[in-house]
Amino acid sequence: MCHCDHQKSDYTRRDFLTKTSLGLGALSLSSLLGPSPVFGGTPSINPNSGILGQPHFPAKAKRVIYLFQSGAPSHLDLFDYKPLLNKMNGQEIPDSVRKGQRLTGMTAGQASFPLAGSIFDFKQYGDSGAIMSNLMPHTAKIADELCFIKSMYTEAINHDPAITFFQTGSQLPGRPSIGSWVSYGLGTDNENLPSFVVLVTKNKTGQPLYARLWGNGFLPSEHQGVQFRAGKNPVLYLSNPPGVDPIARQQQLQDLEKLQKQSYDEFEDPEIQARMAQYEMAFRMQTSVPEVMDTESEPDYIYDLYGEDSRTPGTFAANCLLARRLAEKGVKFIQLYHQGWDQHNNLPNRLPRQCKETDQASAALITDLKQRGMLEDTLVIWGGEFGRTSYSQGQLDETFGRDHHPNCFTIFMAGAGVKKGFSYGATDDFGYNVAENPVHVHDFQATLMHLLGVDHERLTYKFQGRRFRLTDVHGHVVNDILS
Amino acid sequence: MDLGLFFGRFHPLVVHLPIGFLLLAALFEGASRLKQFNQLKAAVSWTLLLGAISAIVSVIFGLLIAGDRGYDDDVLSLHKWFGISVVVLSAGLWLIEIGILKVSSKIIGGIFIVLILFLSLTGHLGGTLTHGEGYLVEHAPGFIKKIAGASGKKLAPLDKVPGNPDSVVVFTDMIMPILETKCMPCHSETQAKGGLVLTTYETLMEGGDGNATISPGKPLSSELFRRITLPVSHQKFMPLKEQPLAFTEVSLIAWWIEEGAKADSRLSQSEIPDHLSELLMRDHKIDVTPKPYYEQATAPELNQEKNQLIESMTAFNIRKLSAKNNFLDVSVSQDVKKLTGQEVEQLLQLKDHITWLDLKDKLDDPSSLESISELSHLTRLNLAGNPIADDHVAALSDLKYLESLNLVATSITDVGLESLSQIASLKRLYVWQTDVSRDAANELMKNKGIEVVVGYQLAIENN
Ligand code: HEC
Repeated sequence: MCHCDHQKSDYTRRDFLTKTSLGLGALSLSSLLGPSPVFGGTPSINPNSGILGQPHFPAKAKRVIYLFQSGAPSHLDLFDYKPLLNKMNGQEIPDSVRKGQRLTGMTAGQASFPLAGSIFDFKQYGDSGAIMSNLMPHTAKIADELCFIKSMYTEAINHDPAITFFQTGSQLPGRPSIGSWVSYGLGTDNENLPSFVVLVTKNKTGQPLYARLWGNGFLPSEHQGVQFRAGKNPVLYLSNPPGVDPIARQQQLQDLEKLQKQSYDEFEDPEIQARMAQYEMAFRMQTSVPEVMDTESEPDYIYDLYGEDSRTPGTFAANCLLARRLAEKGVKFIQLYHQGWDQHNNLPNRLPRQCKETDQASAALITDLKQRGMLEDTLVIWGGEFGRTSYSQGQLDETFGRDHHPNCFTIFMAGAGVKKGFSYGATDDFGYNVAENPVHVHDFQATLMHLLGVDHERLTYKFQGRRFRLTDVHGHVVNDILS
Repeated sequence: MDLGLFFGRFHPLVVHLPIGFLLLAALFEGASRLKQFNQLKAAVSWTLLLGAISAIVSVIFGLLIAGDRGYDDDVLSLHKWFGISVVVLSAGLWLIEIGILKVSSKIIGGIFIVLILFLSLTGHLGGTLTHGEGYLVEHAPGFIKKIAGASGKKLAPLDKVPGNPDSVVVFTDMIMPILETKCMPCHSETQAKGGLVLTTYETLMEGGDGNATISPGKPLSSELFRRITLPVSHQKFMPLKEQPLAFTEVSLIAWWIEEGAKADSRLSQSEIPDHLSELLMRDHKIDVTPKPYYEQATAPELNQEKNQLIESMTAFNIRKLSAKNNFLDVSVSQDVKKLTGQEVEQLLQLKDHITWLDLKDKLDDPSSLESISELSHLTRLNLAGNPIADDHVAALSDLKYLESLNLVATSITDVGLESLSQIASLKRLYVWQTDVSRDAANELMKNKGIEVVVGYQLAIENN
């Protein structure tokens, strides 16, 4: 008994002071302004419209599908054509270009850095004349829909920090990922599904992906990405245990809610609310998830569009198809991961295989969204965590590879709010440094938030005494790519 | 040949002599009052004489050059009178030194101080005349500038342009600010150099003493454009003695003249060429791409009554476009299978606000398009998957701001397309899974510039 009281008084001392000092003011202000239940922008979390209540400015994109290519695809063999590399194939990279750039542990011991031209054919495609290699024939056909950024750069040179940086704005683990910020800020368009869903290609090896990449960090935990898996149990621990029928389950949840409400009234720990929200969401998802994951009803021509792979659950193609279905249901942030782009060696054989797994489905997704009119308010992003070196890792022979390269790489976007058939930024003749219009990872994040109607500087969360945001203290919106 | 001007141009050279001599005289005078330097007293009168003579020459040259170029009259006259005072004071001091006039040594000291003060002021005013106001602290650290009262960074004239391009009047908001900062000092009512007054549109078009200042449509035969594009070293180059106009500013003026040099043309009515809009974006962060209707127009405030109404409309998800934009984005709740006619009617109460409406798969009765066509502020309408045929869509032609229309998987055909082509504002039309023919779609794209998406136009053949 006295133990409980102790807890209670613990809460009141500091919190009482902070809450009342602000609270009384806020109270009188809200009574002055008059009640505005829908758009009040009250600090309490309205599960439907997020902490912001409404975007800072009209959103161009209502949802995002991010096709993350983990391992770092070689910009030099896919999008960034550098004839000089072919001309100087095998020659040492000039010091004036490399400028003592930091190396990874894998090439630091290397005595020679022979330039490696791309062995793939490059051509221009579409009315926009976008240059692409023959590894991406399907994507090439929709070149006029795409917006390339050829001058991306990052600070990290190894996968984990780099991908963590891309997804959370910090190289160190622990910050909320982009999808979590979006869910926290803007809420959801469908109460029956999480607003942030993650799909990872099955049976791929490569750089490991950790759940913290879609973690909520210090944000309330209902904003974490929910991974949907291929197979009978798309969301782990979602189905009722054997012997428990839905009615019993519902009763159980209702009782649990009462208990939790009691403890919330006592401790006012917001995590209790978050957990209640998640239980409820899980219950609703018991029907909504199987519905969205069941692609049986898709006609054959749609499977043909996404490619044969799309009939096999868990492939990148099948996930692209699912991504479209999730987008149709109003999921705000859909993140796919496809591993295996880390061609340190044997790039000539391994890169084409990677492209075969992703090219058709990526292009199909954009095509499919377009014909449904969904590209109007859906943004698709394709890209990895950094680029690859213009010199060979190890010897330059028919099984050569490329090492990690943070100084420049290419990503592309399509859809809501970005220019189509457009290319922004450029690298030097060696594809080694950015030559014009550099776009930092934080700039990319700021632009992404901008397209969603969010001012990246104004979506913050106070934690451990300071306000955090996705872009930390950096980031400029790249206005030139906005349509 | 103009002998006066020829000599006049030596003024800046000659002025350094009196400055040097007179400062030296003051220095000698001061030092000679100390015991160990009292022999310097003898040199004071000589230095004063040289100073006075060179000051007289300077003033004469100065008077010769004063008419030369469009100097600021106020500064010029101050400079002139201070200069003449310097001549008078130095000559007087000389007369005192050689003993023609008699005054006490205290007064001599006082006169010296006044002389040095006037000398400095004259020099500074001269500097202002040639280098422009604020030249002295132009490169000074910020805190010194603050003390000197000079503003830190001057705002580039175009940086004041209002945010929304559609409200920008090209002349008043973009051309005028340039003239104001770069030309007005010499071309105002009080200083109409060359007879040209650049303070209003009318006086600009009236022109100056010479050739047509502006000939609409022809930048190259407009004297103003000729002047700002001459080589900087050219005598006739404008702005005289100021930083030349930036390339973006010159391009802007050229384009404005080309477009007819109108007083009231707005950005939205005139197509800005790509290179110019890129320059404006790059240099001044002015985004001249036209804004969609829902960002140009303003919807009325959502009062308490409307908020309550919105709350009661549970069949719909309703959101404001943004914190400051009262237009509404409306879609149907996931749990609603089909909307009743009554529920559709409810939307009419928000007709001043709804601009995005998504009714995909939710309509039962196509006649409700009649009500939907009364939502006059719609810019995006999604009617995919609803039982809609050609004769229903005719009603939609009332929507004069509609930009995007989704009719995927409806029963629309080429006939319906015909009536949709009446919507002048329409930009994107989605008709995948309908009987609309590719030919009709292409026709519409060619004639009306509407992007008609029939699907599979981007399709990937498996090869
Ligand atoms: C420092 C003073 C000064 C500034 C600043 C200046 N002007 Fe002049 N301007 C003159 C003088 C003096 C004349 C007359 C002598 C001549 O024609 O060169 C003149 C003449 C002209 C004339 C010819 C008028 C006629 O019909 O004979 C034009 C056109 C002109 N200026 C345009 C401009 C423009 C445009 C700017 C700003 C970009 C500008 N000026 C800035 C001093 C100035």
